[in-house]
Amino acid sequence: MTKQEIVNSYINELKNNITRLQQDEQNDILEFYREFILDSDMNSENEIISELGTPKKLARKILADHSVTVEDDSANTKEEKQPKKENQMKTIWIIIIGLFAIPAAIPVAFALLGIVFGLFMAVFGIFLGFFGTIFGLVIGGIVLMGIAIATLFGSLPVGMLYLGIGIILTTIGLMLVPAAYYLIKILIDGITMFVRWVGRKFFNKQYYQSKEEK
Amino acid sequence: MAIQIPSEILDGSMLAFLTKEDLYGYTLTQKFQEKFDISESTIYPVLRRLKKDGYLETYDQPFQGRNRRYYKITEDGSIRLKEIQKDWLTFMLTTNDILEEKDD
Repeated sequence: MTKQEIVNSYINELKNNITRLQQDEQNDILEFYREFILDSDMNSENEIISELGTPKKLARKILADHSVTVEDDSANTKEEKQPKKENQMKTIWIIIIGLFAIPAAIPVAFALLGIVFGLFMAVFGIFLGFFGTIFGLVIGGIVLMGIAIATLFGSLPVGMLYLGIGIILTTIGLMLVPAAYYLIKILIDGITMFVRWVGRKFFNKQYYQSKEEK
Repeated sequence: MAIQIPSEILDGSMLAFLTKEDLYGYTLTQKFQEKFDISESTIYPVLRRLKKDGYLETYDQPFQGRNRRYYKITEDGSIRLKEIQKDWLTFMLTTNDILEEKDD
């Protein structure tokens, strides 16, 4: 294989691993590394990998760098067009994968994975709690309103009382829906911020640094 | 060197290298690696950040049938470099005071 072919195959594999970035950003990155390898005296695939890491590993670092700097230049990832929740999950995932690419950060990556899993389970528990409460209130309220309507013909005051309680229960249930939504949203935003914060600590320090961190 | 390089110093070094001459990716990386023990994959994010903030510009020049992308410091970049130099001097002097204080 000529150097050109070796470079092409490395760059192509890199390309396949950074497709989540915007097209022009991808091109910039690929051109940078293509030029870099062509200018260097690395002549075999092994030499390239020992200097830059495998294309996959390099891609992870690039993606991780993007995911922690994404607040100030969100225009750089396609994710912005997708629903926010999915975007956040992806960000968290990319940061954790990125940490696994740095030998010194592997214990942190494992810990973070555990913490994030635990936190999501907690959020899921909260969601279930809300779901049960809301479901109970709304269904209870509706059933009570049904009974009330049947009772209205027998005893007007009792029927009215039931109807009133039924409406109140249903209303409380429905009012909890936005409260639950915002609480869960805040919790997930919080988890994402936390993971970003950990990621930034590492990518700005460790990952930018010494050669053996590759 | 066991001390981790803060990103301000990476930015400052990059701007300082480019103050003398316009450089392309590979020579920039070499200049860094002559001085610091950093990985190749460090350079691109620094360049990207500096360019995004308007401290650098790029232009392409043909070389052996392909392009080389040169990096050029902007006026804002020179101002930023002066800031970093000033901050670093303060930081360095303070650190020296603390570390070299032997017995008192």
